[in-house]
Amino acid sequence: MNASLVEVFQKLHLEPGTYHVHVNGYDVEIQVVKRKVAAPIVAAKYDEADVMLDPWVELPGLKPVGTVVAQFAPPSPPDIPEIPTEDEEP
Amino acid sequence: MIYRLPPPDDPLDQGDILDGCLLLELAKFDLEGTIPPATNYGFRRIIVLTQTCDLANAKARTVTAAVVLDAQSLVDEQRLKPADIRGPVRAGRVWGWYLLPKNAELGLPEMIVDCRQLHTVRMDLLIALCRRGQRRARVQPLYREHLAKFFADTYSRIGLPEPYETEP
Repeated sequence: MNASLVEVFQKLHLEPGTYHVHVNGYDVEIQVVKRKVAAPIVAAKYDEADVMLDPWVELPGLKPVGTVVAQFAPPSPPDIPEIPTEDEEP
Repeated sequence: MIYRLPPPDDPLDQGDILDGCLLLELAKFDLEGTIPPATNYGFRRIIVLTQTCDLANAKARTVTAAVVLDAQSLVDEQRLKPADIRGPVRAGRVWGWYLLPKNAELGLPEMIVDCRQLHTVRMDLLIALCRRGQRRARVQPLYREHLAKFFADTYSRIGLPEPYETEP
């Protein structure tokens, strides 16, 4: 059926639009539109200013409110963590 | 090879072990501000934990370092038993403690990296120590990354209220 229609339509010089006809007691509507060509897929656009080329940020340091002189002292002993037994997972 | 000794002018890197690093410790404080804080200082062996890529861009002005303890001293002071070091500490089962093996060639004893004693140290201080020959060794890749993973796990671990039940 489709092949027959194509054969018939090819002989007609159809223009974009809608045609209404009556055939054998049926209303026939023919809609002619230009064939859509799929647009190629392209990368999304981005603003180059948004691209962070150098992600390093130096945050402001401590603002000193005073200076104290440190005294030498032996280091504090380490805080010994809990040592698990051989059959105990941490 | 676990360690390598870089030349003194070699840039600072992750895994560098340095002696005599100046560290500060807050001894007394007064939140009212009427008495100035008392600060102690001392010199400790440290290891650089800041990652190589963050040091390589030469923008970091400070370095994260962990205190390195002498394992034998802890035994001598009866804080640890030798079996603790041979067993749980060596197996990485003690929270925050990472064992580094001794190296006779470099004169390094068995050491414990205390990932709970962290300090932010000025980069120029560490570079000055390197130039003075106080860099003792550099932990080499694989072992360095193994320590880095342990360090990360120390602070990213998630504990359950109690272990899952198992069949006896």
